[in-house]
Amino acid sequence: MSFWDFFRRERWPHIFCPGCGIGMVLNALWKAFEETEQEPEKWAFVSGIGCTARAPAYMRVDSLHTLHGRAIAFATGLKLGNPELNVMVFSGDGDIASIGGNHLIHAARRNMDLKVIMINNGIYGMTGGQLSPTTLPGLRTTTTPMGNYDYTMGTAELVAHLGANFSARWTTAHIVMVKEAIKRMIPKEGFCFLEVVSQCPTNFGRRNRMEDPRKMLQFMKEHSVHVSRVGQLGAYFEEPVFVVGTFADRDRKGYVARLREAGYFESF
Amino acid sequence: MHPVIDESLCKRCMICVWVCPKGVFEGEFLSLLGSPLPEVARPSDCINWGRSDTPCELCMLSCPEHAIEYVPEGGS
Repeated sequence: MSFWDFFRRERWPHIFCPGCGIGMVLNALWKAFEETEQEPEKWAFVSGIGCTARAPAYMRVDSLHTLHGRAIAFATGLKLGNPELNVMVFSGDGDIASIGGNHLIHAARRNMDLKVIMINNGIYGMTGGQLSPTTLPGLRTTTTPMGNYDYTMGTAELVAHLGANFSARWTTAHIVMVKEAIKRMIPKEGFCFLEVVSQCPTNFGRRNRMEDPRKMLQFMKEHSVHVSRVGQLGAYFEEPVFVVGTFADRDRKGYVARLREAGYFESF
Repeated sequence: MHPVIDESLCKRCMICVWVCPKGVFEGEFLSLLGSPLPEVARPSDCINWGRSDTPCELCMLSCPEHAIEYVPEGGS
C-alpha cells in the first residue's frame, strides 16, 4: 500500500500550516498500516471538530465528522452497531481531552474497543490560540498573555489509571516511536490511547518565540523525559516537561468480547 | 536510495534540515510566510545511499506534507 493508496492525492496538499505536526502523524499512521498490512476498507475513522479532526477527510477510508467533543460517543455507537469494523478516533486535544473529556473517561472505564489517537498541540489552534487544558505551565496563549498559571492535564496517565488496555504518549520529535506505538495498538482489543504531543508553529510557537518549527521540535525533544525515570505522576511537575513512554499495556477483555459472551449480539 | 523533494508539495518548514542526522539537506528558514526551497545538498551522505532498501526513513516520516520520496541513484 503506497502513501497515495491511503491518502487522497486529489485533496493534497492539506490545509495544515507549514511545519504542523499533524502531517507527521499521518505519515506514521500510514507506515504503521503498511507494515502490518492493514486493509483500509476494514477501518472507519471518527473525528470531531478542530485542526486534527480534518485529517480523516484526506484518507481513503470511511469516516465520520461528528459534533464537537462527541467523537468517542459516535465511535462507541459505530463499534456496537458493527463489531467487525475497526474504529479509530483521530482528533485533537480540544476535542478529546477538553470538551469530550467525560466521553473519554467512560470509554476508557468500559474498555470499549476503540483506538484513539489524540494529537496534543497544547492550544486551541483552529479558533485562534486560546488556553487549553493541555497547555504547559508558564507558556503564553491568546487568553493568557502573561503566561499560563494552570497545571497541565495528563491525559495519557488518566486513561492508564482508568484501566485502558494501552496508553502511551510520544511527541512528534520521536516519530519512529509514534509509528511503533500505532503498530502496537492495531491488533489489541479494548481501549487503546495514544497521545502525540505536536508542534503548532502558527498559534503556539508565534506567541512563545518558537515560530520556527525546528525550535518547537527541539523544545519538545529537550523537555521530554521517559516514564521509567520519573514514574507515572511526572506530568504534575511545575515546569514544562513531557513525560513520554508507554503508561499501560494490559490484556484485559474488551467491551465487545464481554457483550458477545453475554449473548448481546445474538438477540438482534 | 536517496531523498528527493517534491517542489509542488513542500511548504518550506525546514523540518527535514533539522531531523536528518547526516546533514543531507540544506535550507534557511526565514518566516512561516515563505522561505526558499530546501535542497538535497549531499545525497551521497544519506544512510540509504547505495542500498536498495531504506533503513532510515526519518525525513520521509517527518515531512508534514509527504514531499520527500526515496529514489534510486541515477534517477531524478
